[in-house]
Amino acid sequence: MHAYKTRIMMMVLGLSMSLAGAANATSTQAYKFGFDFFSGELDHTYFCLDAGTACYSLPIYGFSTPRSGGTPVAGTLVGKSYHQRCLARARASTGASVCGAANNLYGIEGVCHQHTNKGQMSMHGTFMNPDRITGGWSSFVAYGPYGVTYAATCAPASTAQCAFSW
Amino acid sequence: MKKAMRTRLAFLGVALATAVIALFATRGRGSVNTPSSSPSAASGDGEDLNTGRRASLAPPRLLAMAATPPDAAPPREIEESDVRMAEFQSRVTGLIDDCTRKGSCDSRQLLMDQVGLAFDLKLGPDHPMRKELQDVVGWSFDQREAISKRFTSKEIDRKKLFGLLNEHFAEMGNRYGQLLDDVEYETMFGSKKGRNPAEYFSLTDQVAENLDRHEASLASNGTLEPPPESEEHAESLISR
Repeated sequence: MHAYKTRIMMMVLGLSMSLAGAANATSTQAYKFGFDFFSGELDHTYFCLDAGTACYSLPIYGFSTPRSGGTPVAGTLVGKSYHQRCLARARASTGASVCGAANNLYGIEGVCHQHTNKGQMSMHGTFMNPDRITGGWSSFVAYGPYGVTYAATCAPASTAQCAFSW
Repeated sequence: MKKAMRTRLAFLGVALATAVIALFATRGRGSVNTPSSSPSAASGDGEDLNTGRRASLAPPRLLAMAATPPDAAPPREIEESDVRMAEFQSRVTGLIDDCTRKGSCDSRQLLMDQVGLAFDLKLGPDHPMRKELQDVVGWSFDQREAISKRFTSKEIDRKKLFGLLNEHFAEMGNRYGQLLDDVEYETMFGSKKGRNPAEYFSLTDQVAENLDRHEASLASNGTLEPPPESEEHAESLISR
């Protein structure tokens, strides 16, 4: 009976090990890109998946909008499921989705900081430290971390959109 | 004799498995790049990837510190500020979770609550003007909603929208400036009193033109973002 219990325990541990191993391969990172505007400086921010190979940046500076070459705001962080990738892409979309830039009015809903936070939080649950972004607290006070209507519209819609793969 | 041997083997197996699991758990938590590969690796925000939405109160840097000998402990103020930020992030995320769970989330109240936590973090929870500061958040929300409606109804174009927002944020900054002294204002916003907070938001004519062009391109070309990925592609990245 004792040996039977031990075997079961070891099977459970083995299963945990394989799950932990599979959870370690897709990454995300938030970047900031400093600008000199007006009389001071500001940080444009964007976020990337998979070591910078798929980056999301609001097109506020036109086609030359920086989506590479920025400084990481925090370390590279790892997501663990397709669901998280799906959420990150849906929430940081610059297209016409509920969370996309076309429906999230720039300056009303939020700015690039909120856009970056939406992508980042989908992969690992929280937002950039505003202390590390020039103008980070100004935008937090104006829009919150993810944008004014994020919790009411974007979060539920994108969760539903990605639910099929959960 | 055989039974004792089996028990010993079982204990050894369990110990080995536990060690391997601990190794995997450490790899998956927080920063995964090596300190030498990224200058930011030592500046994680305390996000805990394995627990999902809630940030760990012990950031990766602090977890690393826990393994260092006591005589090599870093300055105490660094630990405290990181822990306070992680707690702040966790509480803000909790507010959002609660609001989302309700089904009908009051965006105005949520913004007031979130920014209230920011005031608490930066100015202390007992600040005498806390309620007045939060009232400015609600006032600003209402003002911007009215401005937004003028744009979405096509009464004004985007350049005019940005002009009105710049004026609004200047007024918002003035209202906060009346409630905070110079030091408090700089502590809260990270900038001098009198500077328009909108200067950090790039609400310029050029940006308005760029966004107009982007929206026009969406109608004809789809999106400017990376091409959509298939579930199979994503799965292959994850299980690699």
